[in-house]
Amino acid sequence: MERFIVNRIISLVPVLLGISLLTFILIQLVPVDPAEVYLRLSQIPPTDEAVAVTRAELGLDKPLYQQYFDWLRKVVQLDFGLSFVTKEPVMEELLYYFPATLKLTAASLVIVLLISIPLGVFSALYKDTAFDQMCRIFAFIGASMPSFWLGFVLVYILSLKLDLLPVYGRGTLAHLVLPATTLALGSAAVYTRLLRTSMLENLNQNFVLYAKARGLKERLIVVRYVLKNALIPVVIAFGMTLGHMLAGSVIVENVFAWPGVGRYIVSSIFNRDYPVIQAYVLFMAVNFVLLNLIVDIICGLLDPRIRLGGDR
Amino acid sequence: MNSAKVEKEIMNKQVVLNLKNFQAHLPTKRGVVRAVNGINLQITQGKVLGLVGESGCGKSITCLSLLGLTKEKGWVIVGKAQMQGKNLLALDSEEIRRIRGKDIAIIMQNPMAAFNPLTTIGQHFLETIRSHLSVSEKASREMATKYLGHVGLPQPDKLMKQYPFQFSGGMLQRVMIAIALAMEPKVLIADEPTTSLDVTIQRQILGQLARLKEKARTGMLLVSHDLGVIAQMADEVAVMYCGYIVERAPVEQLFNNPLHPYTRALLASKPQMQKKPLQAIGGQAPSLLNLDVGCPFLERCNEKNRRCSHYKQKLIQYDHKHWVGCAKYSAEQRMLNHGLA
Amino acid sequence: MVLQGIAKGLYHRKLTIISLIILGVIMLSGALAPVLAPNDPTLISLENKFLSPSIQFPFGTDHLGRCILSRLMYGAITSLGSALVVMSVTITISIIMGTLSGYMGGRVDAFLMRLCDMILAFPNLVLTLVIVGMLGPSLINVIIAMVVVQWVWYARIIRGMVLSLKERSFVLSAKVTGTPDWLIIVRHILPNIIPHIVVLATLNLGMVILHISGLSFLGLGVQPPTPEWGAMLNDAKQFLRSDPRLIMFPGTMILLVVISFNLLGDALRDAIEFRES
Ligand SMILES: Nc1ncnc2c1ncn2[C@@H]1O[C@H](COP(=O)(O)OP(=O)(O)OP(=O)(O)O)[C@@H](O)[C@H]1O
Ligand SMILES: [Mg+2]
Repeated sequence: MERFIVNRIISLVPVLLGISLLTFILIQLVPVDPAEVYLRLSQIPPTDEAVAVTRAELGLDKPLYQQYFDWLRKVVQLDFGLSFVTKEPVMEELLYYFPATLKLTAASLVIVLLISIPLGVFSALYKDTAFDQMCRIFAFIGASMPSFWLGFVLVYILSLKLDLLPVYGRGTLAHLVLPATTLALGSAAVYTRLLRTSMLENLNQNFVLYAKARGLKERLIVVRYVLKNALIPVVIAFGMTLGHMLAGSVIVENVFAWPGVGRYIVSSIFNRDYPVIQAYVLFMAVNFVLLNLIVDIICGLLDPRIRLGGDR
Repeated sequence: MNSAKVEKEIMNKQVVLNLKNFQAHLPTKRGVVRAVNGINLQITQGKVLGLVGESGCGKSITCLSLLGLTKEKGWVIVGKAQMQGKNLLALDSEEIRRIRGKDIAIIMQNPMAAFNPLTTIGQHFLETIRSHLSVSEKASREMATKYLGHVGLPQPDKLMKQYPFQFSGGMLQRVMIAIALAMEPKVLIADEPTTSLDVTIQRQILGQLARLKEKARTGMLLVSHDLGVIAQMADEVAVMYCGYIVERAPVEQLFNNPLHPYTRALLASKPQMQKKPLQAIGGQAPSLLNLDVGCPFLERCNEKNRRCSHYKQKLIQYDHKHWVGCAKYSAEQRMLNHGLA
Repeated sequence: MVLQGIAKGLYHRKLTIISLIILGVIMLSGALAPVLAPNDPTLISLENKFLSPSIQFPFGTDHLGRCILSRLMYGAITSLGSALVVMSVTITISIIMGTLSGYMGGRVDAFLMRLCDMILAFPNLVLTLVIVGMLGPSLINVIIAMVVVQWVWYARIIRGMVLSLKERSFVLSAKVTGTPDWLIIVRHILPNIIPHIVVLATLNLGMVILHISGLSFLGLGVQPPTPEWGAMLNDAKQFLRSDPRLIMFPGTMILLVVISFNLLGDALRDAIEFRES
């Protein structure tokens, strides 16, 4: 197991380098001169002279590869420079907003699991019953629902009409319910469907038949034979979804005025605060990669074939 | 009571599993597969019943469905599978669960797919033991290692901690056999138990099975393609074709005097010491989806007559213990033959 | 039991037809909006704001007194049209790249696949968002960003298909008989991959629409006053309490369209799988 984890971590190095390279390339897409933007935001008239000074200050006058390595050296030390707008270190700002996003994502992760595992399992076990049909309809509509609209519908029904939950603000668990549910619904729908399919596939496996033939109890078979095997593809897909949920929080945060990185990034985009945008994409990509690492380790724990490197 | 009746009584006591007019039909998208069509079989204490027939004739479906094991929902299983006065097909799910693996153990055909890839061999063993017996974890562990040793697997302690993917097909087959033996079942259903084993291990395993039948008086249903194995192990043989039993006889009688044209063809396709050319059975078995009236072997039979096209499969007693399902041996045909003679 | 039967029956045939009809009606009303729309979708008249449905304004008016129905109709062009543009550009690029990569192999393949790996290492909404952020908010930049992020998925899949097709007997025999590569690609490879890609694209169109309207909702895509469903929701959000109608209309449209595309994609996939089995 240790070797498996170490190997996985080593294989991250080229991925992280690729990420940093692409991130660096992205900033080159900016159609205007960042130095000019910087000056404007600092309310200094962008004269040729001032621009030249700023370019030198920001290191923009050096050749590209040099810029990349300078930038990378700083990034490794978690130095993303200063925000154009607030003049604060970008990393500090991101870390200031991140806990709110993390809390939102974690809460909706819990909701996804609470919805999709029971629905997926029971709709497979009771295939073609009315319950199964309802789950399938839920999965279908849930996956097609625009989260920015769902948020408003939930607010309208649960808060404004029924007055069950607070609309905006945060702090208590009640404040978390609506945004987290909104963020969770799409993924919950996708996972209900995926788990159902995976369960059905495994229910038809020979090892389930042999387990029955040995007289094992139904519940043991469902949990240890069917569910455990069915979870593997689901867990693998989950790595992807966690990334989508982190990203999807951008929309939900803007619907609910949730003070996380999602709101921060959108306002930074409007402000053309390029250091923040660049740091954000790197930060999210690294999170995504690390989440996938965790998911891989979980898969290794679940599946001895992955852990022990068997391929038969 | 006359002696014949007494003999019958004793016989009945010794029959541990009795299939009566047993049918298994599997609805699929393309129609109903009539895999087993009303067969009668008796498995006797301490005896081996061999079941032979070509691929796809319904042998495995028979084995599975008599335990109420259906791979998919909707299989229609009718008839009786009687064991100790109970019809297995009428039991509730908990009652049949107690029988599976304990009273009737099964060795499945495809060992590579039969094990849960996520749990160890030891787990498989322990689960089975503890589903039926209330013994401690430690005791069942000892039991498991003992039986793994019996089937000739080296270092059973180590194997217990390994996963199925680290085993070869032959090893897994032996694990299955060990699990079956450990429960000392009344009936053992062995679906091709030796196909994935090499000759030495095959002999060892057959020896184990023979010992089980001596020691625990287990009755056995032995499914095999290998007529050599059948000749060596079986006391009685049933020949299956298209979901019908077409011939049933004690082993010597079947090999020395096969009656059904299909049995003859099957025996002719078996390699022998004398260098006679092997005879493949010509043609293909009809699909189980659209079995017509008449003998299912009709198309491929070289002894057919006009009666065959509307012959309804049923076994005719040819001799004391020799039954055959072929129009040639029907009473009227025999009368006709005698008349002509 | 009855419910089950109905649900099952609907699930296959009827739902597909219904979704086709919905899509057809919406696309037509978008395409014919200049003729059919009762009002100018961008005409602001503050004295007409928040009107209830009437003959002149069948769905009422928004906070600036614009006709909601007209905005929905014109919005269909923007929302569906940009999704279709994204999809067709993506597919064209990915077919070229994927076929090139799979058919040529070697350096080209290695380079393209490393590029794909790099792009796939990012969560796709994040990358889209950031590209838009770098290029600046506008519909065209959203389209560019979506294409840049999406093509890699298809290119990968297409490459895999091409690799396996390359080994098939009909391609090998065409090669042996000296058919030029471009002809093999046009005659043997493309016809075999395009149906699969169309299914994938249909299944994904719903997601593309959700992303485009999501970005417009954030104010990063379509800029006012151009009517677009996501942007309409953005305008409407402040009036959730006073006039929830404004939220209901565009949201329902998005949901309907996305569901319809998903149903259609499922039906197409079933059809193609059935044909192949
Ligand atoms: N899950 C299933 N669904 C539908 N039909 C099946 C299923 N399993 C088996 N069959 C059909 O039932 C028939 C009998 O199959 P069975 O597995 O009993 O054959 P068999 O005699 O054991 O053959 P083999 O010697 O190859 O093991 C075959 O025609 C097969 O196509
Ligand atoms: Mg079989």
